[in-house]
Amino acid sequence: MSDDPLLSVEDLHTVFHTDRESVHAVDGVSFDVHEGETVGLVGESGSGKSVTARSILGLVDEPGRIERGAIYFRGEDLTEGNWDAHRGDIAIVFQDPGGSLNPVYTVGNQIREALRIHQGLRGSEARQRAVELLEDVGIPDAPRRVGEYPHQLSGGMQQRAVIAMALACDPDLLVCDEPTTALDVTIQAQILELLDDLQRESDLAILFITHDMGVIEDTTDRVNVVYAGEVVERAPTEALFEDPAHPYTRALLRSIPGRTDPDERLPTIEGEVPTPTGEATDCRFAPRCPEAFGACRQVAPDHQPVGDPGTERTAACLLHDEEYDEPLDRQRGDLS
Amino acid sequence: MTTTPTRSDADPADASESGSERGGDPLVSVRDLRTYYEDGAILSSAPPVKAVDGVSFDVHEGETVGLVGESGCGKTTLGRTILGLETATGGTVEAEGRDVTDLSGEERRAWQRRVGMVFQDPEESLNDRMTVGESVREPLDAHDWPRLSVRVDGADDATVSGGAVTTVDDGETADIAVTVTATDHEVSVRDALPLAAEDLDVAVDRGGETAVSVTVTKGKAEIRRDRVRDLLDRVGLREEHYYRYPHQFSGGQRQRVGIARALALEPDFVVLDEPVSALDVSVQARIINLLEELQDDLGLSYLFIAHDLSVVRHIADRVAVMYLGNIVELGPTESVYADPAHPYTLSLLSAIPGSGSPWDGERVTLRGTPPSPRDPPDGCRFATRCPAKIRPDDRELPESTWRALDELRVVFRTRARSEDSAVDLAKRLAGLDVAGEGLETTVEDLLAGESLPDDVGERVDEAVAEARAGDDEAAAAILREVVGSRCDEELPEAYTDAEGRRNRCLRHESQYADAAETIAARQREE
Repeated sequence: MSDDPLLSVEDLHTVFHTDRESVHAVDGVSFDVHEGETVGLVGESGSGKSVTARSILGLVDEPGRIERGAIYFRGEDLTEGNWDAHRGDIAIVFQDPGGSLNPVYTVGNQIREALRIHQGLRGSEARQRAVELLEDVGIPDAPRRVGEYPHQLSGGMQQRAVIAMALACDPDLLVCDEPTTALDVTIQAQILELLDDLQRESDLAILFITHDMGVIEDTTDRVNVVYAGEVVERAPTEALFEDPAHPYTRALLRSIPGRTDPDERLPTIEGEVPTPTGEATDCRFAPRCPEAFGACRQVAPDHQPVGDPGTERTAACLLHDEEYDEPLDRQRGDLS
Repeated sequence: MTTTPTRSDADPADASESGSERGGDPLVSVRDLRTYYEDGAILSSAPPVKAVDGVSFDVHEGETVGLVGESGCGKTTLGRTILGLETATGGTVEAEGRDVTDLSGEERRAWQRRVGMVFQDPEESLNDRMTVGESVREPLDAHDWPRLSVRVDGADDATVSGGAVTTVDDGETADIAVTVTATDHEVSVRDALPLAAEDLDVAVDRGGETAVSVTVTKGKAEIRRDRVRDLLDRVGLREEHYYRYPHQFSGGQRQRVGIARALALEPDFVVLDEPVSALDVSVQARIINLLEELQDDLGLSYLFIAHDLSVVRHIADRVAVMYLGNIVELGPTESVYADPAHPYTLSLLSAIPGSGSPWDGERVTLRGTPPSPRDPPDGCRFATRCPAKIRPDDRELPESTWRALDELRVVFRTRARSEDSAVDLAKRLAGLDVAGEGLETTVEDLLAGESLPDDVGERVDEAVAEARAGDDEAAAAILREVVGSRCDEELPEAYTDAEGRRNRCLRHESQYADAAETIAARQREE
């Protein structure tokens, strides 16, 4: 892993302006992705994780706009209009494979199109490479399947074909936006295994966006927890699951069924995820936070280092801010 | 406790469910249920889609049975068939000793009042032009609710009259109880109803036979409105939500409306079809808690259909695992999760991502997708993907070779069932090479690095020759002769052990190692 990150998102603000209000869908998100690593972005619906993905690809539609911040790819700020220069370097895989494939062209046709645009391959060379790509993504009988239409493939096979298309650009960064959410758990396991294999073979960097904590646990090296447009905690994956530092992360992990005693009620988070309509003036999680205290409703928390020094763990929570003298052991007490 | 397991005979279902794990009569008893969909076309010779193909299980009072399986396994169709929303092709669904699959008229409506259904997507199951109150009220209107039943205590042979009331049936809880004494009478109303004794006009005529006449003075519309308010309150919504529209609600709130609607007619059995799959995890937890509360308070029985095994682990007392129209494993949830007996259950559990998986061994990744329910494999339905498939007795081959040959067979099988392109068809009619060089590549890739014994190699060449000539079916048949075993010939019967756990896998037989052992050994070998 080189020291310079491949992708560096800094203080990204993506705002949707409507007649009535301005929704700050992404409100000051920062994170890095290095070569060969998988970074997770995890959060519930409305957290801004998909808008972050679209912002990175330059796919934010009107009335949305990147208002502030920078997205550095290999040191170049994409928000200054450099998307076209890197158009093949970053590829995206969406949740619904059916929506990413054109139903009137064969799978091979669509992969060859990508090969022609991004790698200038044509004719038999492109045909052969298309078959190879389908084989790489584990589609059995690829020489035949390459001539089939999307509807002839199952959902799992379609998602493999979409990944093959994404790989046809020979990207350095693959953004996966809930790539397995529409799939059965057995097929999900196949796709996750595939992504892992691809990464090991090619040093691909992956930004993995999902709401599923289990998937995050299995696939990512580092993780960013997002809530209402902000990253509230960032940590190496193992450390996050071992000892979550932000009250939202803790609450989220506890509410997952199957990890608690089935005879007990599931711990819940009351209330709803707010829609940020302006700059943060307080902690957005405070109204739902079981550990909130007075200052939480007056100050927007900054990221504070947590855990072992050197692990690059931070949490945006006043509980970890020495300036606010809420005794740390008191809030630790009601965790167990 | 050690008891000799029982082997079921003629009807595996009856024996396997005969009160083995719970006392008392089941509330709903499903036996050999089948739901097939015929192709709509006239003169079509296509075989039917066997969505549900011989399913048997019980649901007891107050119990939650979880039903899990991949999409397309038939779990939703099973739930709908039990409720009478789909027509059963065969088999029975018994409730109180009656088969409810072929009811009609008033009997059918009476069954519909006893059952409810909650759907996955509350957005689609609610009409956005109706207020939430109207949506919840709709079943009340459709069934002309309430029909009040009256029980008369203290006077035998009393007759009951009145516009909206009937005499209570045996064994039923009365809505209104009238206790008649020599000079007076006392009226009580069941708590769950939005009615008070003051809302009734009760007259008792003691001349000769006692005649009780009951008139409800509170209007029907008002009773229903109050009922809807009670229901909204029950599911955690507020009174002012009555006049709002579905789009004004969050996903979790809409699912609460869906639950209120399902409970409107006071069912005792509710089918929940992926009720929390579309919800965020924090909202999901609240809906699961609500469903558990309602079950405790109202004594409901649930059939909980879900693909999320962690949710099922939390909520279900027993779990049924479904594959291609069959229940392959059934048993108490914790026991099945801790020690899955069927290779499919084991594969499913091992595929749960993260530390939520109860499986601590290496992950078992299944190959491919389930075959089409229009054309299921002959023997065990799971044989084409099974990681613990029994190998033929007469041959020893390395595990990787078996797997490669299995996969090649699936390739031929899939090709045989895919649509022919016009070009392929023309080539076949002209006796030309249909498969082309692609086939060779596929075979080479699959068998790369495997050294096949001569006779096996010959058979593979034969198969490839058939496929090249366009007969993938014959190619698959040849491979089946090479790698086929009992698993390809017998549909395993349901086998029930002493603890009431049921399993449809030949590996329960004593001559075989069990699924977990076999899979672990094969993983070590690879």
